[in-house]
Amino acid sequence: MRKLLFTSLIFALMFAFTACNGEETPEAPEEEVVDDGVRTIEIVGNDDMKFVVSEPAEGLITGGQAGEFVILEGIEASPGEELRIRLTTISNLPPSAMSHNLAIVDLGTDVDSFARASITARDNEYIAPEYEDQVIATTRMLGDGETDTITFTVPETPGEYDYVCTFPGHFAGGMVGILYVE
Amino acid sequence: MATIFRPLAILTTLLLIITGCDRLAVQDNLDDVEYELVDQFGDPVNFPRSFEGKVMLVGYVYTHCPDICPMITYNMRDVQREIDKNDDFLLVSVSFDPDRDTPEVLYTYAENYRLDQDNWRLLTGERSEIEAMLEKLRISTVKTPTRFTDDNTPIYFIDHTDKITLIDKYGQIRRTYLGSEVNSKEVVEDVRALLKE
Repeated sequence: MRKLLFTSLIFALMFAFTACNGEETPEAPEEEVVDDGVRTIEIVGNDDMKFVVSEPAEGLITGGQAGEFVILEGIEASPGEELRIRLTTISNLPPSAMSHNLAIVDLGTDVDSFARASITARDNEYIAPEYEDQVIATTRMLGDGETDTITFTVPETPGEYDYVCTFPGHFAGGMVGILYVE
Repeated sequence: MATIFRPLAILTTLLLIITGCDRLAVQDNLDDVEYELVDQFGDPVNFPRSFEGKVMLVGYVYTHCPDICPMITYNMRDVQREIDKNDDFLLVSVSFDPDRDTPEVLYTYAENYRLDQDNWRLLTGERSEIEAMLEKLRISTVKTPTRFTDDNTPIYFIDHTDKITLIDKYGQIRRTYLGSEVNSKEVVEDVRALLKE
């Protein structure tokens, strides 16, 4: 009897360790696309550390070509507008090496210091806790194939609001843009 | 006689520990070496000869690094910003990924990190020169296997020693720090001490 108990315990422990290995990561739930009249911007974060979109569009400021995408340099919005951003990461790299988020910060935020402080905030989705009150909206940190959607109200105060990816090195790599509120 | 010297040696050691003087003791020197490299402006550099007479803070990075190197660069930048402009102080970042880190890439890296490039040189060069230099400065690197994307872009990472080296005006290694976790105030103190020598 004692031997049976011991064997059961060993199997239970083996099962527990296997489950903890993370081999079987549950699939992220499918993002439901809703047409509720809210302007939705589909953005991709790529391996070149750039925010890109599939094509130029009204309200978007775009730059050069990046493969099949164009580089997104800025977003124009009206004060108080409801805006939805859907960010997807497309990468050939593991999430530990290449993940992206999109964090929009308030006017007057020292975005360089924010990005610098955030690189050590891995346990908080790479958002430095001391800057959280200056973040207007942010997606989760996303590895290849993952998508997150944020819906937020654009600030009433006109101005140029920075948005950045806070994964280590990405702000410095040029993964930045401006939300123009006017 | 030995009974007199022993307490003296212990006392001296204790004094050194208390005053902290031995933390800047000479660890090695670069007298007998020189490496032909190129900086972010495309100008040739003979390391360390080109920088003779300067106190140098040397970091080791590669621009595709997803974790440690950004922290090393930011920590060195903190030191740079703490120390008033001084012609005798220079920051140096050496890339151990010369295949990807061309002078142009290093220049963009410096711009993106908002580094003051007046007294910061980012170095790359022939792989053999880089490897010889890294060996002398006791930096190890291990490259992961290379994969290629659909458009044939190589993808790989490099595990590396996490270190910053402080070199005095005479090309002597005086101290090393854990690059990603160093206390910049401590480095600033050390740099100022060496500048006064």
